Amino acid sequence: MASRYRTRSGIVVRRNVTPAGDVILDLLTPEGKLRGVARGGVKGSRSPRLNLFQHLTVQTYEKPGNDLATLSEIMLEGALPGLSSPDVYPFAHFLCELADKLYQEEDFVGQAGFELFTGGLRGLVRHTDPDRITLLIAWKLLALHGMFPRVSSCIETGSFENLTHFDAGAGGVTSASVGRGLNIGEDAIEELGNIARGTVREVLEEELSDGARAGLWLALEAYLGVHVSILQAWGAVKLMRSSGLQMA
Amino acid sequence: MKYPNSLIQLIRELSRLPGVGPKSAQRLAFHLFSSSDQDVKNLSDAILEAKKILKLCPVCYNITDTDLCAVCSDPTRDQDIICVVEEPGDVIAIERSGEFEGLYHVLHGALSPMNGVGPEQIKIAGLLERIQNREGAPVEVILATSTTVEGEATSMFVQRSLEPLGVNVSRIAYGLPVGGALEYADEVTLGRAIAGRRQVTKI
Repeated sequence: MASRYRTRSGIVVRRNVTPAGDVILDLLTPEGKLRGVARGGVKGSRSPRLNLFQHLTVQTYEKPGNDLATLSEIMLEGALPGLSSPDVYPFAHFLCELADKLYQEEDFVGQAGFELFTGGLRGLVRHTDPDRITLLIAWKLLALHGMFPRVSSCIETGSFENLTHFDAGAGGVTSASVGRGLNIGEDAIEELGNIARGTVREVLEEELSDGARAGLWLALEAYLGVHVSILQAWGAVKLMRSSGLQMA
Repeated sequence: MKYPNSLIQLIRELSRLPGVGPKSAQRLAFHLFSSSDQDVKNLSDAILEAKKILKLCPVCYNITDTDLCAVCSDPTRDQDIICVVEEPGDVIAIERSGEFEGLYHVLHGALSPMNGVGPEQIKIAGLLERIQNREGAPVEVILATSTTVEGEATSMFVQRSLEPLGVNVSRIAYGLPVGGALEYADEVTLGRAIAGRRQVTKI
Protein backbone atom coordinates (compact mmCIF):
# COMPACT_ATOMS: atom_id res chain seq x y z
CA MET A 1 0.00 0.00 0.00
CA ALA A 2 1.37 3.41 -0.95
CA SER A 3 2.28 5.65 1.94
CA ARG A 4 -0.19 8.38 2.73
CA TYR A 5 2.68 10.65 3.72
CA ARG A 6 4.73 12.57 1.16
CA THR A 7 7.40 15.25 1.54
CA ARG A 8 7.52 18.08 -0.97
CA SER A 9 9.38 21.36 -1.21
CA GLY A 10 8.07 24.49 -2.91
CA ILE A 11 7.18 28.15 -2.93
CA VAL A 12 3.85 29.38 -1.55
CA VAL A 13 2.03 30.99 -4.48
CA ARG A 14 -1.38 31.37 -2.89
CA ARG A 15 -2.61 31.55 0.68
CA ASN A 16 -6.21 31.51 1.83
CA VAL A 17 -7.48 31.63 5.38
CA THR A 18 -10.80 29.91 6.02
CA PRO A 19 -13.25 31.36 8.54
CA ALA A 20 -12.45 28.40 10.80
CA GLY A 21 -8.81 29.49 11.04
CA ASP A 22 -7.33 26.91 8.69
CA VAL A 23 -4.77 28.05 6.13
CA ILE A 24 -4.97 26.63 2.62
CA LEU A 25 -1.68 26.91 0.77
CA ASP A 26 -0.85 26.39 -2.89
CA LEU A 27 2.80 25.55 -3.41
CA LEU A 28 4.68 25.45 -6.66
CA THR A 29 7.10 22.54 -6.46
CA PRO A 30 9.32 20.95 -9.14
CA GLU A 31 6.94 17.97 -9.15
CA GLY A 32 3.90 20.17 -9.77
CA LYS A 33 1.50 22.33 -7.85
CA LEU A 34 0.47 21.15 -4.42
CA ARG A 35 -2.53 22.29 -2.44
CA GLY A 36 -2.81 21.49 1.23
CA VAL A 37 -4.46 22.68 4.38
CA ALA A 38 -2.77 23.51 7.67
CA ARG A 39 -5.51 22.93 10.23
CA GLY A 40 -5.71 25.78 12.72
CA GLY A 41 -2.72 27.34 10.96
CA VAL A 42 -3.76 30.95 11.44
CA LYS A 43 -2.79 30.80 15.10
CA GLY A 44 -0.03 28.98 16.88
CA SER A 45 3.65 28.54 16.27
CA ARG A 46 3.29 27.41 12.64
CA SER A 47 1.59 30.60 11.44
CA PRO A 48 4.78 32.60 10.61
CA ARG A 49 5.80 29.84 8.18
CA LEU A 50 2.48 29.81 6.37
CA ASN A 51 3.04 32.94 4.33
CA LEU A 52 3.13 33.90 0.69
CA PHE A 53 6.41 33.68 -1.22
CA GLN A 54 8.08 31.49 1.43
CA HIS A 55 10.04 28.40 0.44
CA LEU A 56 8.72 25.51 2.53
CA THR A 57 9.31 21.82 2.86
CA VAL A 58 6.04 20.20 3.86
CA GLN A 59 4.95 16.72 4.79
CA THR A 60 1.48 16.01 3.50
CA TYR A 61 -0.99 13.41 4.65
CA GLU A 62 -3.39 12.31 1.94
CA LYS A 63 -6.34 10.06 2.60
CA PRO A 64 -7.74 8.26 -0.47
CA GLY A 65 -10.78 10.13 -1.73
CA ASN A 66 -9.82 13.31 0.08
CA ASP A 67 -9.08 16.06 -2.41
CA LEU A 68 -7.20 18.31 0.01
CA ALA A 69 -3.99 17.07 1.61
CA THR A 70 -3.27 17.94 5.23
CA LEU A 71 0.02 19.69 5.88
CA SER A 72 1.27 17.75 8.86
CA GLU A 73 4.83 19.11 9.09
CA ILE A 74 6.05 22.45 7.81
CA MET A 75 9.66 23.54 7.65
CA LEU A 76 10.86 26.92 6.44
CA GLU A 77 13.64 26.76 3.85
CA GLY A 78 13.83 30.45 3.10
CA ALA A 79 11.83 33.66 2.99
CA LEU A 80 11.89 36.68 0.71
CA PRO A 81 10.77 39.54 2.94
CA GLY A 82 11.67 42.19 0.34
CA LEU A 83 8.70 41.13 -1.78
CA SER A 84 6.27 43.01 0.47
CA SER A 85 7.82 46.31 -0.66
CA PRO A 86 5.24 48.33 -2.64
CA ASP A 87 7.73 48.59 -5.53
CA VAL A 88 7.62 44.87 -6.25
CA TYR A 89 4.59 43.52 -4.37
CA PRO A 90 2.14 43.66 -7.34
CA PHE A 91 4.74 42.02 -9.60
CA ALA A 92 5.31 39.19 -7.12
CA HIS A 93 1.55 38.64 -6.91
CA PHE A 94 1.34 38.69 -10.69
CA LEU A 95 4.01 36.00 -11.10
CA CYS A 96 2.53 33.84 -8.35
CA GLU A 97 -0.97 34.11 -9.78
CA LEU A 98 0.37 33.27 -13.24
CA ALA A 99 2.19 30.19 -11.91
CA ASP A 100 -0.90 29.21 -9.96
CA LYS A 101 -3.08 29.46 -13.06
CA LEU A 102 -0.55 27.95 -15.44
CA TYR A 103 0.15 24.78 -13.50
CA GLN A 104 -2.53 22.44 -12.26
CA GLU A 105 -2.02 19.88 -9.51
CA GLU A 106 0.15 16.98 -10.67
CA ASP A 107 1.19 19.11 -13.69
CA PHE A 108 4.96 18.55 -13.93
CA VAL A 109 6.86 21.81 -13.48
CA GLY A 110 10.40 20.46 -13.56
CA GLN A 111 13.50 21.76 -11.86
CA ALA A 112 14.08 24.30 -14.66
CA GLY A 113 10.61 25.78 -14.28
CA PHE A 114 10.87 25.87 -10.52
CA GLU A 115 14.26 27.55 -10.62
CA LEU A 116 13.08 30.05 -13.22
CA PHE A 117 10.15 30.98 -11.01
CA THR A 118 12.15 31.25 -7.77
CA GLY A 119 14.90 33.11 -9.61
CA GLY A 120 12.25 35.53 -10.88
CA LEU A 121 11.00 36.22 -7.37
CA ARG A 122 14.56 36.76 -6.15
CA GLY A 123 15.21 39.00 -9.15
CA LEU A 124 12.27 41.22 -8.26
CA VAL A 125 14.00 42.10 -5.01
CA ARG A 126 17.55 42.37 -6.33
CA HIS A 127 17.27 43.74 -9.86
CA THR A 128 16.93 47.44 -10.52
CA ASP A 129 14.14 46.88 -13.06
CA PRO A 130 11.48 44.60 -11.51
CA ASP A 131 9.05 45.58 -14.27
CA ARG A 132 11.29 43.94 -16.88
CA ILE A 133 11.98 40.92 -14.68
CA THR A 134 8.25 40.28 -14.39
CA LEU A 135 7.74 40.61 -18.12
CA LEU A 136 10.64 38.32 -18.91
CA ILE A 137 9.79 35.62 -16.36
CA ALA A 138 6.12 35.60 -17.40
CA TRP A 139 7.04 34.99 -21.05
CA LYS A 140 9.69 32.44 -20.04
CA LEU A 141 7.18 30.53 -17.91
CA LEU A 142 4.86 30.37 -20.89
CA ALA A 143 7.74 29.08 -23.02
CA LEU A 144 8.63 26.37 -20.51
CA HIS A 145 4.99 25.38 -20.41
CA GLY A 146 5.05 24.96 -24.19
CA MET A 147 2.75 27.90 -24.71
CA PHE A 148 5.06 30.43 -26.33
CA PRO A 149 3.57 32.12 -29.41
CA ARG A 150 5.11 31.66 -32.84
CA VAL A 151 7.26 34.74 -33.38
CA SER A 152 9.83 33.78 -35.99
CA SER A 153 7.60 34.35 -39.01
CA CYS A 154 4.17 35.61 -40.00
CA ILE A 155 1.56 33.00 -39.18
CA GLU A 156 -0.42 34.01 -42.26
CA THR A 157 2.19 34.32 -45.04
CA GLY A 158 5.30 32.77 -43.51
CA SER A 159 7.21 35.99 -44.17
CA PHE A 160 10.18 36.86 -41.96
CA GLU A 161 10.09 40.55 -42.83
CA ASN A 162 8.36 43.52 -41.25
CA LEU A 163 6.71 41.62 -38.37
CA THR A 164 4.73 44.20 -36.40
CA HIS A 165 1.45 42.69 -35.22
CA PHE A 166 0.63 40.15 -32.51
CA ASP A 167 -2.43 37.97 -32.91
CA ALA A 168 -3.15 36.61 -29.42
CA GLY A 169 -6.00 34.35 -30.54
CA ALA A 170 -3.96 32.67 -33.26
CA GLY A 171 -0.88 32.56 -31.02
CA GLY A 172 1.61 34.25 -33.31
CA VAL A 173 2.75 37.36 -35.13
CA THR A 174 1.73 38.79 -38.44
CA SER A 175 3.49 41.12 -40.86
CA ALA A 176 2.45 44.72 -41.37
CA SER A 177 0.84 43.84 -44.71
CA VAL A 178 -1.44 41.29 -43.02
CA GLY A 179 -1.89 43.56 -39.99
CA ARG A 180 -3.96 41.16 -37.88
CA GLY A 181 -3.93 41.61 -34.10
CA LEU A 182 -2.26 44.23 -31.92
CA ASN A 183 0.33 46.49 -33.47
CA ILE A 184 3.14 46.06 -30.93
CA GLY A 185 5.96 47.00 -33.29
CA GLU A 186 9.01 45.26 -34.70
CA ASP A 187 11.19 45.87 -31.63
CA ALA A 188 8.76 44.10 -29.31
CA ILE A 189 8.52 41.12 -31.66
CA GLU A 190 12.29 40.95 -31.99
CA GLU A 191 12.52 40.97 -28.19
CA LEU A 192 9.98 38.13 -28.02
CA GLY A 193 12.29 36.17 -30.31
CA ASN A 194 15.24 36.94 -28.02
CA ILE A 195 13.21 35.74 -25.01
CA ALA A 196 12.36 32.52 -26.81
CA ARG A 197 15.98 31.82 -27.80
CA GLY A 198 18.12 33.32 -25.06
CA THR A 199 18.69 32.71 -21.40
CA VAL A 200 17.38 35.18 -18.81
CA ARG A 201 20.90 36.58 -18.36
CA GLU A 202 21.43 37.03 -22.11
CA VAL A 203 18.09 38.79 -22.55
CA LEU A 204 18.73 41.13 -19.63
CA GLU A 205 22.12 42.14 -21.04
CA GLU A 206 20.39 43.84 -23.97
CA GLU A 207 18.67 47.21 -23.65
CA LEU A 208 14.89 47.27 -23.93
CA SER A 209 13.25 50.34 -25.46
CA ASP A 210 10.14 51.83 -23.85
CA GLY A 211 8.15 51.08 -26.99
CA ALA A 212 9.16 47.42 -27.02
CA ARG A 213 8.42 47.12 -23.30
CA ALA A 214 4.93 48.57 -23.74
CA GLY A 215 4.33 46.24 -26.68
CA LEU A 216 5.44 43.19 -24.71
CA TRP A 217 3.10 44.03 -21.84
CA LEU A 218 0.24 44.60 -24.24
CA ALA A 219 0.89 41.29 -25.99
CA LEU A 220 1.23 39.46 -22.66
CA GLU A 221 -2.11 40.74 -21.41
CA ALA A 222 -3.88 39.74 -24.60
CA TYR A 223 -2.15 36.37 -24.78
CA LEU A 224 -2.82 35.42 -21.15
CA GLY A 225 -6.42 36.57 -21.47
CA VAL A 226 -6.97 34.16 -24.36
CA HIS A 227 -4.78 31.20 -23.42
CA VAL A 228 -4.49 31.19 -19.62
CA SER A 229 -6.87 33.42 -17.70
CA ILE A 230 -7.57 37.04 -16.87
CA LEU A 231 -5.35 37.57 -13.85
CA GLN A 232 -6.68 39.52 -10.88
CA ALA A 233 -3.26 41.04 -10.27
CA TRP A 234 -3.38 42.87 -13.62
CA GLY A 235 -5.24 45.74 -11.97
CA ALA A 236 -2.44 46.44 -9.48
CA VAL A 237 0.31 45.91 -12.07
CA LYS A 238 -1.33 48.32 -14.51
CA LEU A 239 -1.91 50.98 -11.88
CA MET A 240 1.69 50.74 -10.80
CA ARG A 241 3.02 50.86 -14.35
CA SER A 242 0.81 53.74 -15.40
CA SER A 243 1.69 55.90 -12.42
CA GLY A 244 5.28 54.74 -12.12
CA LEU A 245 4.55 54.50 -8.40
CA GLN A 246 3.43 51.85 -6.00
CA MET A 247 -0.04 50.58 -6.80
CA ALA A 248 -1.65 54.03 -6.56
CA MET B 1 -33.25 7.95 6.89
CA LYS B 2 -33.69 11.30 5.24
CA TYR B 3 -33.94 14.42 7.41
CA PRO B 4 -36.97 16.69 6.96
CA ASN B 5 -36.34 19.45 4.43
CA SER B 6 -36.61 22.25 6.99
CA LEU B 7 -33.97 20.57 9.17
CA ILE B 8 -31.66 20.09 6.21
CA GLN B 9 -32.08 23.75 5.34
CA LEU B 10 -31.26 24.80 8.93
CA ILE B 11 -28.14 22.59 9.00
CA ARG B 12 -27.05 23.97 5.65
CA GLU B 13 -27.40 27.57 6.80
CA LEU B 14 -25.62 26.93 10.11
CA SER B 15 -22.75 25.15 8.40
CA ARG B 16 -22.08 28.30 6.38
CA LEU B 17 -21.03 30.10 9.57
CA PRO B 18 -17.29 30.48 10.25
CA GLY B 19 -15.88 27.66 12.34
CA VAL B 20 -19.02 25.55 12.05
CA GLY B 21 -18.61 22.29 10.16
CA PRO B 22 -21.44 19.96 9.08
CA LYS B 23 -21.34 17.94 12.31
CA SER B 24 -21.39 21.02 14.55
CA ALA B 25 -24.20 22.45 12.42
CA GLN B 26 -26.19 19.25 12.94
CA ARG B 27 -25.64 19.43 16.71
CA LEU B 28 -26.69 23.09 16.79
CA ALA B 29 -29.78 22.33 14.74
CA PHE B 30 -30.87 19.58 17.13
CA HIS B 31 -30.13 21.89 20.06
CA LEU B 32 -32.32 24.63 18.56
CA PHE B 33 -35.09 22.10 17.96
CA SER B 34 -35.04 21.06 21.61
CA SER B 35 -34.87 24.69 22.89
CA SER B 36 -37.99 26.55 23.93
CA ASP B 37 -39.80 28.70 21.38
CA GLN B 38 -38.85 31.80 23.38
CA ASP B 39 -35.13 30.98 23.31
CA VAL B 40 -35.21 30.44 19.57
CA LYS B 41 -37.16 33.66 19.10
CA ASN B 42 -34.65 35.58 21.24
CA LEU B 43 -31.80 34.24 19.12
CA SER B 44 -33.45 35.08 15.80
CA ASP B 45 -34.47 38.53 17.06
CA ALA B 46 -30.93 39.22 18.23
CA ILE B 47 -29.51 38.25 14.82
CA LEU B 48 -32.03 40.38 12.93
CA GLU B 49 -31.66 43.34 15.28
CA ALA B 50 -27.86 43.27 15.10
CA LYS B 51 -27.97 43.03 11.32
CA LYS B 52 -30.38 45.95 11.19
CA ILE B 53 -28.61 48.43 13.45
CA LEU B 54 -24.92 47.63 13.15
CA LYS B 55 -22.98 49.85 10.76
CA LEU B 56 -19.50 51.23 10.22
CA CYS B 57 -18.34 54.27 12.17
CA PRO B 58 -17.99 57.07 9.58
CA VAL B 59 -14.66 58.17 11.12
CA CYS B 60 -12.70 55.00 11.90
CA TYR B 61 -14.79 52.34 10.11
CA ASN B 62 -15.09 50.20 13.23
CA ILE B 63 -18.40 48.41 13.81
CA THR B 64 -20.89 50.44 15.84
CA ASP B 65 -24.59 50.73 16.58
CA THR B 66 -24.46 54.49 17.21
CA ASP B 67 -23.55 57.47 15.04
CA LEU B 68 -19.93 57.36 16.20
CA CYS B 69 -18.25 54.31 17.71
CA ALA B 70 -17.42 54.16 21.42
CA VAL B 71 -13.75 55.06 20.83
CA CYS B 72 -14.31 57.99 18.45
CA SER B 73 -16.98 59.50 20.73
CA ASP B 74 -14.82 59.22 23.87
CA PRO B 75 -13.20 62.64 24.55
CA THR B 76 -10.78 61.16 27.11
CA ARG B 77 -8.93 59.16 24.44
CA ASP B 78 -5.70 60.58 23.02
CA GLN B 79 -6.82 62.30 19.82
CA ASP B 80 -3.26 62.60 18.46
CA ILE B 81 -2.54 58.91 17.91
CA ILE B 82 -4.27 56.71 15.36
CA CYS B 83 -3.68 52.98 15.33
CA VAL B 84 -4.30 51.41 11.90
CA VAL B 85 -5.57 47.82 11.97
CA GLU B 86 -6.89 45.39 9.37
CA GLU B 87 -10.10 44.13 10.95
CA PRO B 88 -12.57 45.20 13.67
CA GLY B 89 -11.48 42.15 15.68
CA ASP B 90 -7.98 43.67 15.91
CA VAL B 91 -9.44 46.69 17.74
CA ILE B 92 -10.84 44.38 20.41
CA ALA B 93 -7.46 42.61 20.71
CA ILE B 94 -5.56 45.88 21.20
CA GLU B 95 -8.18 47.19 23.63
CA ARG B 96 -7.76 44.00 25.66
CA SER B 97 -4.04 44.77 26.03
CA GLY B 98 -4.94 47.97 27.90
CA GLU B 99 -1.79 49.64 26.48
CA PHE B 100 -3.37 51.93 23.93
CA GLU B 101 -5.39 55.04 24.68
CA GLY B 102 -5.61 56.58 21.22
CA LEU B 103 -7.97 56.25 18.25
CA TYR B 104 -8.26 53.56 15.60
CA HIS B 105 -8.66 53.24 11.87
CA VAL B 106 -9.94 49.94 10.49
CA LEU B 107 -8.87 49.16 6.91
CA HIS B 108 -11.19 46.15 6.46
CA GLY B 109 -8.61 44.05 4.69
CA ALA B 110 -5.06 43.96 3.40
CA LEU B 111 -3.62 44.49 -0.07
CA SER B 112 -3.72 41.32 -2.12
CA PRO B 113 -3.53 41.95 -5.89
CA MET B 114 -4.02 38.29 -6.81
CA ASN B 115 -7.34 38.37 -4.97
CA GLY B 116 -8.30 41.67 -6.59
CA VAL B 117 -7.77 43.70 -3.40
CA GLY B 118 -6.03 46.97 -4.17
CA PRO B 119 -5.87 50.28 -2.29
CA GLU B 120 -9.36 51.22 -3.51
CA GLN B 121 -10.91 48.13 -1.96
CA ILE B 122 -9.77 48.94 1.58
CA LYS B 123 -10.22 52.10 3.65
CA ILE B 124 -6.86 53.76 2.96
CA ALA B 125 -8.39 56.81 1.29
CA GLY B 126 -10.54 57.32 4.40
CA LEU B 127 -7.42 57.39 6.57
CA LEU B 128 -5.64 59.92 4.36
CA GLU B 129 -8.72 62.12 4.25
CA ARG B 130 -9.10 61.88 8.01
CA ILE B 131 -5.54 63.07 8.56
CA GLN B 132 -5.67 65.78 5.89
CA ASN B 133 -8.87 67.24 7.33
CA ARG B 134 -7.53 67.22 10.86
CA GLU B 135 -6.74 70.46 12.63
CA GLY B 136 -4.19 70.98 15.39
CA ALA B 137 -1.02 69.09 16.32
CA PRO B 138 0.46 66.53 13.91
CA VAL B 139 -0.87 63.10 14.49
CA GLU B 140 1.11 59.90 15.08
CA VAL B 141 0.05 56.84 13.17
CA ILE B 142 0.82 53.36 14.48
CA LEU B 143 0.65 50.68 11.79
CA ALA B 144 -0.71 47.57 13.46
CA THR B 145 -1.54 45.49 10.40
CA SER B 146 -0.83 41.78 10.65
CA THR B 147 2.67 40.42 10.17
CA THR B 148 1.73 38.36 7.12
CA VAL B 149 3.18 39.37 3.74
CA GLU B 150 -0.14 41.05 2.90
CA GLY B 151 -0.15 42.93 6.20
CA GLU B 152 3.46 44.01 5.70
CA ALA B 153 2.77 45.23 2.17
CA THR B 154 -0.28 47.14 3.37
CA SER B 155 1.72 48.70 6.17
CA MET B 156 4.48 49.82 3.78
CA PHE B 157 1.95 51.16 1.32
CA VAL B 158 0.14 53.18 4.01
CA GLN B 159 3.49 54.42 5.28
CA ARG B 160 4.42 55.72 1.81
CA SER B 161 1.00 57.28 1.33
CA LEU B 162 1.33 59.11 4.65
CA GLU B 163 4.85 60.43 4.03
CA PRO B 164 3.76 63.57 2.13
CA LEU B 165 1.33 64.46 4.94
CA GLY B 166 4.13 64.94 7.45
CA VAL B 167 2.90 62.59 10.13
CA ASN B 168 4.96 60.43 12.45
CA VAL B 169 4.51 56.81 11.45
CA SER B 170 5.54 53.83 13.55
CA ARG B 171 5.09 50.07 13.12
CA ILE B 172 4.24 47.69 15.95
CA ALA B 173 7.26 45.67 17.05
CA TYR B 174 7.92 42.07 16.10
CA GLY B 175 8.88 39.90 18.96
CA LEU B 176 8.75 36.82 21.03
CA PRO B 177 5.69 35.91 23.05
CA VAL B 178 5.90 37.00 26.65
CA GLY B 179 6.72 34.01 28.86
CA GLY B 180 7.95 31.91 25.94
CA ALA B 181 11.25 30.02 25.84
CA LEU B 182 13.65 31.01 23.08
CA GLU B 183 14.34 27.44 21.92
CA TYR B 184 10.66 26.91 21.11
CA ALA B 185 10.31 30.11 19.12
CA ASP B 186 9.88 29.68 15.38
CA GLU B 187 12.76 30.78 13.16
CA VAL B 188 10.89 33.62 11.42
CA THR B 189 9.79 35.33 14.63
CA LEU B 190 13.20 34.83 16.19
CA GLY B 191 14.91 36.30 13.12
CA ARG B 192 12.62 39.33 13.14
CA ALA B 193 13.09 39.78 16.88
CA ILE B 194 16.87 39.88 16.42
CA ALA B 195 16.62 42.22 13.43
CA GLY B 196 14.36 44.56 15.39
CA ARG B 197 16.33 44.39 18.65
CA ARG B 198 16.12 47.31 21.05
CA GLN B 199 19.14 48.97 22.61
CA VAL B 200 18.98 48.87 26.40
CA THR B 201 22.27 50.57 27.31
CA LYS B 202 24.03 53.48 25.67
CA ILE B 203 27.79 53.89 25.80
